[in-house]
Amino acid sequence: MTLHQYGMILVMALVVIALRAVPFVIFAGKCKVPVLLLYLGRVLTAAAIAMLVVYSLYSNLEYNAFGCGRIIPALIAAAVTVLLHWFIKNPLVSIISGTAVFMLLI
Amino acid sequence: MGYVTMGTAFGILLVSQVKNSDFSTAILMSFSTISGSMQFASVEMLKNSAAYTLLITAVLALLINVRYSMYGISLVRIFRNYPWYIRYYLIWTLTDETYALESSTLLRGKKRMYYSLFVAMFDHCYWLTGSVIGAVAGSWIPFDTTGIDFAMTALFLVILVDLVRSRTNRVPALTGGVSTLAALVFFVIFFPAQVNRMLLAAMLLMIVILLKLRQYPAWQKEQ
Repeated sequence: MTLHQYGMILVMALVVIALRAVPFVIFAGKCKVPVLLLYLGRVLTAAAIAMLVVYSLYSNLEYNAFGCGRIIPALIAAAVTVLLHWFIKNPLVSIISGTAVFMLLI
Repeated sequence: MGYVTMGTAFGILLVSQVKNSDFSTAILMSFSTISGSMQFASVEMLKNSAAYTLLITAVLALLINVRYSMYGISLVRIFRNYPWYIRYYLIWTLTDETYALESSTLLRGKKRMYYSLFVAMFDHCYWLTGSVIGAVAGSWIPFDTTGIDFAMTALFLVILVDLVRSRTNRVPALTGGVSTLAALVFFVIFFPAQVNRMLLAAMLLMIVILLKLRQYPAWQKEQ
């Protein structure tokens, strides 16, 4: 663990706690909640998680000496994870199966 | 109790992915942040920490957790009457599950305050306990398990699948995915040495697109 990593942990904790406190600080009085903020709060979680999906899929390919040699295993494993979770709805089953498929294929 | 399992998964991932991290790192994070989505994302970020400046870390944390700011809005009036030390603790520990329990209770007055306090304290302890169990167990698992980092991708996929079960999340999720893909392709072609910078570009792109999409009410309705 480097100093920079501890810095990241501190920044993340502060941002999360500050976000939780925001409405209590701003909207404690008569102040109305801006519609734009409500809207972004509704939509950004899904958008940010989708971003992390794409980015982490990409970083699974990156460490291969053959460039995109892992793209097919990654896509198959991702499909397995999504299908299992869509129908069976058990996070542990989906994550363990998807990861196992990926580890077997590469 | 779901928090113990989730916490365990976080602990295992943390120590198996981030070099030189141990149960003290897990305790530090789980005690202060108490956020599943944030901490799971943080494993990926800490692992490639060179790619994340403190600014990008802050922006990403902001994007993933904006929803927390929404939770408080309905609780402002209720928490206002509580003593400051209870109020501050309840605000600090306001997670998805805690919020669900605290906002849906039918209890009122003092009873409600103590109920909320107990819910918050138990969830906090569950989350911390799970993380420590996971971090200790994770340090026993052999390291050379190539491909195990796909678990992180799988976890994000699982969270995403749960989100898009609700119709209103489908367009935002698609926007986020396509924006990131576009930013990724753009950086790989034009700035291959700085691909990690693409996250900021992707975020800006998705915010702009989402603000444009606000004009169309059709996808924002549940039915």
